[in-house]
Amino acid sequence: MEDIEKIKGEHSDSVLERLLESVAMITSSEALIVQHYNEDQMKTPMHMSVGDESCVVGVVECFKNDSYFFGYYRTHSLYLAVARDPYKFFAELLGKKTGSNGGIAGSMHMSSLTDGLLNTSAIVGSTIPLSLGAALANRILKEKRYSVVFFGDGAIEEGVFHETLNMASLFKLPILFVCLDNGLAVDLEAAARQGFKSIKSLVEAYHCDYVFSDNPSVSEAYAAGVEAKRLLSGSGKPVFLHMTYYRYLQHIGITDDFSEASASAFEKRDYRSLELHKDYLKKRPLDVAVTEMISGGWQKSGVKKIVEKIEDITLKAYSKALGDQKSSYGEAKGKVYFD
Amino acid sequence: MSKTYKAALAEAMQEAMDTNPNAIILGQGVTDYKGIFDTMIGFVDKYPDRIIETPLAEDSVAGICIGAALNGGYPINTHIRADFGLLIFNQLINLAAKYKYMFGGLFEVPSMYRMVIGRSWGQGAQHSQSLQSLMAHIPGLVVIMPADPKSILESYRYAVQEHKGPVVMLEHRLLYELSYEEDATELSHPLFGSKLEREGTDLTIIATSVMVLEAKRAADHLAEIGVSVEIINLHSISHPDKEMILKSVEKTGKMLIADTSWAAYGVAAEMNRIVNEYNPSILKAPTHSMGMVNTPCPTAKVLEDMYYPDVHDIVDVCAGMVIGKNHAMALPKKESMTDFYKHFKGPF
Repeated sequence: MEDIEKIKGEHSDSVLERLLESVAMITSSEALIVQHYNEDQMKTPMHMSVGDESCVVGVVECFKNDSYFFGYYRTHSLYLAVARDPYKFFAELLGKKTGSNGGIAGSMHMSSLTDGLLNTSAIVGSTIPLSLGAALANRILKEKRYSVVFFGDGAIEEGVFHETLNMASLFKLPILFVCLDNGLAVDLEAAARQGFKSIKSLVEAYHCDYVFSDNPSVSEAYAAGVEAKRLLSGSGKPVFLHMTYYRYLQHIGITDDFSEASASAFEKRDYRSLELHKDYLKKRPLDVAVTEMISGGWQKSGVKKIVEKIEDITLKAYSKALGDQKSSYGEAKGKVYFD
Repeated sequence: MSKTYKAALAEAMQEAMDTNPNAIILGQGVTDYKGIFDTMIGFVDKYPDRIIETPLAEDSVAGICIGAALNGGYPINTHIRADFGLLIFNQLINLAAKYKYMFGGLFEVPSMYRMVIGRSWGQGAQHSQSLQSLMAHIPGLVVIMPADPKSILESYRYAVQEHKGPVVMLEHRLLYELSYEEDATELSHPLFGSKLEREGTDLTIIATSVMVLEAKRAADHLAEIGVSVEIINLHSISHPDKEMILKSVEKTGKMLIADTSWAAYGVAAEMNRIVNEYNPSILKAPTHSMGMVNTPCPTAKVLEDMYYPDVHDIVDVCAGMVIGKNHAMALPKKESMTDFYKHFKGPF
């Protein structure tokens, strides 16, 4: 797995190249999941990231060397952007000892101590206060490090969001709140859930700086991250980065709203329009990133080569993980505190 | 030298702050002049950066504790009534308790949650609950009910200095002002053990928190009428010393559980499970579970006194179990436990 080790440790001079690599890694990894999920080897509920790749990669790339990250249950893009390790990623989904978390975490709790991804959680909003705790400890330990927490727009309706934003502002802590807003909680639109004026007005009421990025490309997401970091470093206040994106698939699982398979899926089928879906299919994050690079002066063949290299690494990682040993109960049991 | 329960708590908190430069105490009222019932008076002046008065946001504050623990801090979160601890159950149970396991052993979240069980003066239904069994049910949590100053010092020290996970300390308000003589009995382990308080031959009383004192008072009375009881101070609710329990019940053949909470699905049920799964034939008589009446706590004093069992009930039950139901032994008078402990002057 030399390729994987290389991709993980590699620091290309070109930010654009790294952004493209990470987006390609997420997109190709999730394509493999879609291809193989029904073989029932990955026995874990999947909340797919397809659509949020640009947002997550852009922000992570800005903050990865001096931050702690906290996520939620849609973990794939965050884990891969932070750890860049498709082998541990697939091993985890396949329930293998070699997974990021020994096969215990599955899709919803992937994390990486060495890369500073300290939590992902299936309880909506629950990791938001953890980011504040880490920031508070940074202050006491006198370490210059940021806390970056990702959550969906539904988490804004949770009490802990307000409690934490209040304290972040009160204590003047450098926390980046990243709201990945797809406008849906499962299949319920924001207007049916949110009784406040706007996310912006809500956040600004807590004296929090607000940055908005509407369905960004990966380079635009990176630019939004840079702006957020500038504000964080200057103000000593929390910053709220609001990013919208289109969720291509259903809340959970590997089907979209319109395919045959979705008929038996968890959600109702008529909450989004086919026209909108078709429109977004023309601007998938990876395609947009590729187009952006080419229009920025990169050779088409060179860009294609980068994507193919990543697809090859991802496939190799999946195949290797597939052959690994399953996680065992005895080992898992020893990981509870005491018995 | 005698020492009060609250003085031991203050000493334990002081030691935590002094021995661990990354210890922080967070909660509502931690900078208050009453200092969490005299257990951290003046701390905010001494450690202004590490004593953090929080808004009314229990759920988030527990999450903040986890985040701080992940990042090298040792958070101590206070709740002057354990009932408010219910507001942190999401973070405590869904996150803190599972942290090490759920992420495949990558992370540890050493942290302490101090919750005070209220009692007396009409604390009522929401300021008096004893929630030990709810929390001890959860793998990954350590739940302690210290019954004396020595247990406090040993278990808090171990939690702060050695243990790498979340510990819930259920302190009993009724014990705070009481003074204790230093005694020779030892915990079998500060967090994963119990204490043999008194040796006896006729019956084993397994008691928690303030009921340990009631059991001791009852034992003195029972000795006068020729009944010899052995008392186990359970101390660790989540990880009691099973060997100690089985050895004792094997010797006496009789078991009374005196807990501060409701009997059903609680400590009493767990003690019965431990004994029955080992060998039910060590029991020579049916066991007895003593806890609060199976209702929420009433406010009216006359009802409250009926609600909690006390020394009178323990003596009655023990005499019944050893001598027979119609024992006709003189019982200590039915007196409000609250009145007794509030006015008791001498050290235990």
